[in-house]
Amino acid sequence: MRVTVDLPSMLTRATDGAKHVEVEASDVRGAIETLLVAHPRLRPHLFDEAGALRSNVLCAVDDEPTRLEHHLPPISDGSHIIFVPSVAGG
Amino acid sequence: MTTLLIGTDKGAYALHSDDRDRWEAGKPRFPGWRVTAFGTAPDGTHLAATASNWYGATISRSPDLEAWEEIEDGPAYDAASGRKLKQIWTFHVTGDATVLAGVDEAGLFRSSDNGVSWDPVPGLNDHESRPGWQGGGGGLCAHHVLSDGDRVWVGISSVGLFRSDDGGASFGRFDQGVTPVSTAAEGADMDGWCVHGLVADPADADRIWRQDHMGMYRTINGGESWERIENGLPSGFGFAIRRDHATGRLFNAPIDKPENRTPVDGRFGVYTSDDDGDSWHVAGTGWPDDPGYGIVLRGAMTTDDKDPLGVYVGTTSGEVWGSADGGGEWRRLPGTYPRILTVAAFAD
Repeated sequence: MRVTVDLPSMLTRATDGAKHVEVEASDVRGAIETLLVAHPRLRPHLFDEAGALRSNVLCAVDDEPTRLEHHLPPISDGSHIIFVPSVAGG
Repeated sequence: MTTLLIGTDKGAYALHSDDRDRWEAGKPRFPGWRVTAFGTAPDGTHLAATASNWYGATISRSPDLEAWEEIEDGPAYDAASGRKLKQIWTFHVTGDATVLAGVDEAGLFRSSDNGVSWDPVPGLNDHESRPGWQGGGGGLCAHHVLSDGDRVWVGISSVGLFRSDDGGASFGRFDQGVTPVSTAAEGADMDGWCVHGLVADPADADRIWRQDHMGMYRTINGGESWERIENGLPSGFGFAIRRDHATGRLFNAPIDKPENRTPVDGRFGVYTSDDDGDSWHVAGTGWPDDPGYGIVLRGAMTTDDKDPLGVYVGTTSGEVWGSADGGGEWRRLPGTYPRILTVAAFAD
């Protein structure tokens, strides 16, 4: 299945400028691993030392929020995986 | 040409000058990122450290200060340590052509390939005293590194000064004579000493000046003992310290007491000493008559090593001040920037 990963603009430094990356994968975990193989500099920005999604980074698969831990949302051809920063401000 | 890179809470900015008189702004870099340190590796590759509360900390490399590429294998703690890499505070090139990086959470990393890849230095990172380390207002950060052959010094805020005599394999603690910032709590086994800034004499690296949370200090024996040197300073508190190695002139930027952290009486300016710190006075002329409340953080004072020396400071109010005559005449350089964390000068 072809999946699009949308990234925050601050992380385009790690993707040679790409804000949207298309990957082939059969599930969410595979899609993210494919993303990180293509753009390894993303890994420390999205995941912490223990391999968990950074606490201030949010992820959604087709608008369903996920911490990428246990139950992972299903994907289908054309799915979008989105990484966004948590809101901070006032 | 001299290029001044200004690292801030939000991005990096450049000023360029052919004569250190007229400065022109370059284009901003690293938008949105906290830019925390600059350096130059032994092969001439420039290094920039960036950090984000969302996306962690990493390093970028550049051959020309214009095109920057983020590295893949930056400093990182292993998961088992339970430590997190929050910020890279400093780069230091050692005599054996390696680069050391001091980081928060406090630790030291070494690169032997000009900043491409980094390995932890367990002699410091796993020091026996580590369970007692406590961070201060700026975090638990290793922010200054000095070296002379196999001798390496590392300053850690709220913890103290560490020295290795075996190239970083092991470290001892060297705060004798410095007032601690905390008295060991019941059950704890250590005090904390709060190094803010360090500079050494390259001709005799055991001569070190230490801007500490608790005052200005000097050692002549590599840190075996320290003496307080504050004659003429309006306050012993501050962060930044630099030295003109050609003349021996020292520079610092005094700050009112720790709980206030503004220039004393709103009189912003750099102080200097021409006698190894025995006495201090306001550096030269040109400082504003109007009240100023921005301060100079520990990474935001630099020199360009030209003759005469250029000295530059950036403030938390986003101003950059410079002197092109070794600290005699000062003036404000163009631009107002976000809170300035670090300033570095590069010459073609």
